[in-house]
Amino acid sequence: MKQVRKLAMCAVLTALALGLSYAERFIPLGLVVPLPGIKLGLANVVTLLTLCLVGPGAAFSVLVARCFLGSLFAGSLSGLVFSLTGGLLAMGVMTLLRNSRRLSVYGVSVCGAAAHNAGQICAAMLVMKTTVVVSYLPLLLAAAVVSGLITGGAAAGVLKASRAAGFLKKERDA
Amino acid sequence: MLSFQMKKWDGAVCALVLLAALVLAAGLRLQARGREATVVISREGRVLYEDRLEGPDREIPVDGDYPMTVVIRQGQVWVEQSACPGGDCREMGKISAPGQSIACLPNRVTVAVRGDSPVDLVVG
Repeated sequence: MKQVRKLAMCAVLTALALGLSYAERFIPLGLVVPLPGIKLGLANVVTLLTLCLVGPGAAFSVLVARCFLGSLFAGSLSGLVFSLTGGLLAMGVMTLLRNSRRLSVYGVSVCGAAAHNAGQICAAMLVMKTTVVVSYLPLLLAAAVVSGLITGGAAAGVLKASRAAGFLKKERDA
Repeated sequence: MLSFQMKKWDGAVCALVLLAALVLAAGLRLQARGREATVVISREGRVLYEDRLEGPDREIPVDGDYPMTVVIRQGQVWVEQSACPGGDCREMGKISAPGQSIACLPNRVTVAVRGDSPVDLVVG
């Protein structure tokens, strides 16, 4: 892919990720799952999209830019270590699985969501210097299956449209 | 390119993650079984408060960047007040079973009900 095009694509995807992580604050998921602060993980859709549309390097850049800008807009850096740990772990797992023949977008998304939540608990254990926060993990993992399927569906929809628009084919040729 | 249609193995992955959640939940339950419940409040591994869950009603003030009040009443523990902007710790509600915990990230404080010697679980 041409450099300029790649840069433009990454910029659009970063903006999308920031917009989505802001928008999902208004989804009151806490009413369904009794765990405050739980999120749908829509920004993870963007990581998956970037992986498929551009590549792992771009996915990394978009992720890091999203985490830094996101915490900058939120006005505090305290959440940065959590979003970075979770985001990077999710990205790593999805990068490894992205060429899988056995899994579809849905399965990869679920694995990413589970890795994200596990990563956040690891970050919490390190920051708080205690393992008691593991008690959150079972519910978070169960929630990851549901949220991963939903965000996987969103990613599948966008990728289908990208393919119809000739995006994917061009990316592969380039 | 990944397939857009769900496959068999997607189901297997979902089942595996759910199984991991169940095993972990069961493990945490089992580990704490049959021992006397203790309330432990700690900040970054340092124990600020530790006492039996059963017993008289108590209110424990926890200072820090965002002072908070932890209430222990009738075998349940919860965060009654917190000056932090998020309030996640208050929304966590009441906990009572060993293995459960409430985390306050801005304050770096955890409130845990434990069924074992607290030393076993503290890292670092």
